[in-house]
Amino acid sequence: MSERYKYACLFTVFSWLLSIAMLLLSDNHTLNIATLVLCAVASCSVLLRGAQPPEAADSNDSSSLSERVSLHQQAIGHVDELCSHVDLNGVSIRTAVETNVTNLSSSFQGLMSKSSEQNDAMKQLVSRISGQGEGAEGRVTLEGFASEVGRILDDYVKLFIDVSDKSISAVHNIQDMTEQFDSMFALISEIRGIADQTNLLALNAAIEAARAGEAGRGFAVVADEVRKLSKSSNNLNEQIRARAEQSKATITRVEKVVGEIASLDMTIAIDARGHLDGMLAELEGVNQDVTTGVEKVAAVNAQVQADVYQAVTALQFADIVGQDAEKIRLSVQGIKAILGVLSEVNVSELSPRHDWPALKNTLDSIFDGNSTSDIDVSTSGTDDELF
Amino acid sequence: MTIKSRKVTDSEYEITLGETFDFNCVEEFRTAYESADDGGKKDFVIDFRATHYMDSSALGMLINMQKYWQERNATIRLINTNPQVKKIFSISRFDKKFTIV
Repeated sequence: MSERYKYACLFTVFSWLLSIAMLLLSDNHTLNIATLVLCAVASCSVLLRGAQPPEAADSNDSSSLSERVSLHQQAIGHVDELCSHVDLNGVSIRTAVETNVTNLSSSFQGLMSKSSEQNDAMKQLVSRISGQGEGAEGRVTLEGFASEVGRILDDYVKLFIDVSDKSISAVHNIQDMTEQFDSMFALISEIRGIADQTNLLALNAAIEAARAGEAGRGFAVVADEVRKLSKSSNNLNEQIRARAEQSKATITRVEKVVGEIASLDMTIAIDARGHLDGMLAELEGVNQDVTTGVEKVAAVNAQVQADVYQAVTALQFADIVGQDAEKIRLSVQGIKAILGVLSEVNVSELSPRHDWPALKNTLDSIFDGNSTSDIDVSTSGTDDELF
Repeated sequence: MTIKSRKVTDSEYEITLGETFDFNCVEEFRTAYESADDGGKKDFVIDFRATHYMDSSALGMLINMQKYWQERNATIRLINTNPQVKKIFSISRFDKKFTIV
């Protein structure tokens, strides 16, 4: 076997390997087919060189025809085996692609449905927080809660203003009453003055009665009685004054108590209102943040969905790869059939009877059968060398 | 006397409050606005410029003053309120009952 033939064989094997690698790695349709054509050409050229009786052998070598034929048969057998490998590889490429594409598709569908579930969950969350949407009536929202607390606080403030108003009104009445008491004390003092004057008059009367001697004895008794009456009047007057003083003291104590009721420190209410306003502002901030966050998530979701759509579209490459693998298989089957013909041609050289037209018909039929393939094997040009 | 009152014109009457306006002022305050009553229409100006503390009884006093003058056709303006005092008036919705400057 010549060195050139060996290199041709190596080149053929290398080109087939390249073709397989291209099919697996590249999605350039035209380039793949070109590589396949290159392989076919290389294979046929190798086979034809193998089938031709080497000139050097004819003239210089003394090897017998049968040895050549057996060598050719061996070469044909190797190529046939390689073709079978390529065929099997084509099948496994197709299977692998189909299986993985199915898995990828179902993964992407899962991703889509999860993403849309996520979207729904976010929407539900937002409607729950904002108190909008279905079934929101009667549910407590953060804003509702805050405004309810505000209303209660307002009622509370209103209540103690009312209490203060009534208390101050009561205090005014108490002060009026105290004034009445003071005028009563003036009256009591006046009564006391009258009683004292009466006492003095009675004393004068008693003195005048004593001066009158026996004739004034009766009058002295009357004067004495008048003095006694004025004293008991003073005594009663004093009791009334004491009671009135007590009443005044009691009323002053009541005034103090009412005053305590009226005087509430407003700082607590101011602080409470301040806290509430702060909380309301905070809540508004939280709502704003939630809304922004949800909008972001929705945007990301939409992006994810768009990406998934793109990925699903890209998965269509799988069909192309499958079709290409099938074309390779068809081509390889064609090559195998040609190898069969070559083998028969080879063997026929040993027998005296050569039925070349029958073999040519077989070869033609192989090309007709392979005509569905995109690769036009008949134009490879190697058939002219053979026939 | 922490509360000073003065007649500005025939109708206008000015009451200037002390540093605190609380229960201790009840009698003085009442005297200040009742003593202005001469049967005519009155425009009261209550000056809070010195006041830095007041409790709820102040609100009660003001409401009682308003009730006293309600049927006598008077206006009551609260002026020079500091932020704290203004806040109390705002929380108690007094800004709807009185003119607060």
